[in-house]
Amino acid sequence: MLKRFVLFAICLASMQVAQAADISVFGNWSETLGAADLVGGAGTDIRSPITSGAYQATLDLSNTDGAAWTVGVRRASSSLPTGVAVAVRRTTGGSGDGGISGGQDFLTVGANEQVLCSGHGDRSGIGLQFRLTGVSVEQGTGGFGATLVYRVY
Amino acid sequence: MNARDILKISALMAAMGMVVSSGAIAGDSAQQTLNYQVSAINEISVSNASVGTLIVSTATAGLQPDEVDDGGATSYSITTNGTGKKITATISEDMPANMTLSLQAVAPTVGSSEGKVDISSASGENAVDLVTGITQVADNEGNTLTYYLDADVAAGVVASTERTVTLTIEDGS
Repeated sequence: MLKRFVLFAICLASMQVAQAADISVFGNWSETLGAADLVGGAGTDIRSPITSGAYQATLDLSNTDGAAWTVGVRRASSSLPTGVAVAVRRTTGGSGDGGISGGQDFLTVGANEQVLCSGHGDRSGIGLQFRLTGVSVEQGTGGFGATLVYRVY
Repeated sequence: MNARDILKISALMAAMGMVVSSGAIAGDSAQQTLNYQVSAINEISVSNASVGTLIVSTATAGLQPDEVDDGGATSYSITTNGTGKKITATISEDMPANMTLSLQAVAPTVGSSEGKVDISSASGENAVDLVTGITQVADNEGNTLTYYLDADVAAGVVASTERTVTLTIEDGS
C-alpha cells in the first residue's frame, strides 16, 4: 500500500498543468494611394511593392512559462483584388527571456496558416513589417484589405 | 494486486505524467487588419510642350491652300483608374476666321479615337472629345497627337500667332 502511494505520488509530482500562452498584436496598417504613388507619373502604374514602416506593428508572447512556442499566421478574410498579395516579416526579436528565430524574410500570407517564427519564453515588442504587391490602376478605386490572424501554439 | 501489477500501473502513470509535463502550450490567437484606399487617379502628359510652327504656304492653282500637319511629332501618356473616361481638348483662343486647327489623338490600349477633330472653336467651355471609352489603363506607348492647319484664301495673310491646347481627362458622357 505504501509502495503504491509513493509511486502514485511520484507520478503526480511529475505532472504539470498544460500552459496557456497568450499572443497579442499591437498596431494595424492603413495606406491611401493616389497619383503620387505612380511609378513615374502619367503613363505608369502604381508602385509595387508598397511597404509599411519597419516597426508598423508588434507582437507580444506572454505566459509561456519558458516553454517553446511557434507563431502561425493566416489570412482570415480578404477584399484584396485578384493579383494583390500581402506579406509580413518580423524586423526585430523583441525583448525578454528566451529567444526567437525565423520570420525575417517576407512571408506571403494566405488562407492556410504558415509558420511565421518560433522561440521560447516570453517575448514582447517583436516588430512586424508588411508589404503589398500587385496593386494596379486596373483594379479601380475604393477600399481594400485583409484580416490577419496570428496563433501561438 | 502483486508487485508486478503495481510496477505496470506505476510505469503507465509515469508515462502519462511525462506527456502532460512536456510543457505543451495551449493555442491562442490575435487578429490584425490591413487596408488601403485607392483614390481617383487621372494623369495625362504630352511629350513636347511645343509642336513647332505650322505654316500654310503652298497651293495648287484653282484650289484652296494646302493643309499642313506636324507629322505626329508629339504624343501623350495617360494613367487613369476610372471607367468610361474621355480625353477632351480646349484651345486658349478661337482660331482666326477661315482658319481651321484640327487634332487627331491615337487611343490608348483601352479607348476609341474620335479621329481628326476640329478644335478651332474649342475655347472656354467648348471642349471637344478626342478619345472616349478609356477605362483603367496606364499607357505611354505610341499615343500620337497630330495637328492639322487649314487656311482658306479668305483668311488672307495671317501673322504668326500662338495657341495653347489643353488635354483633359474627364468623365465620359
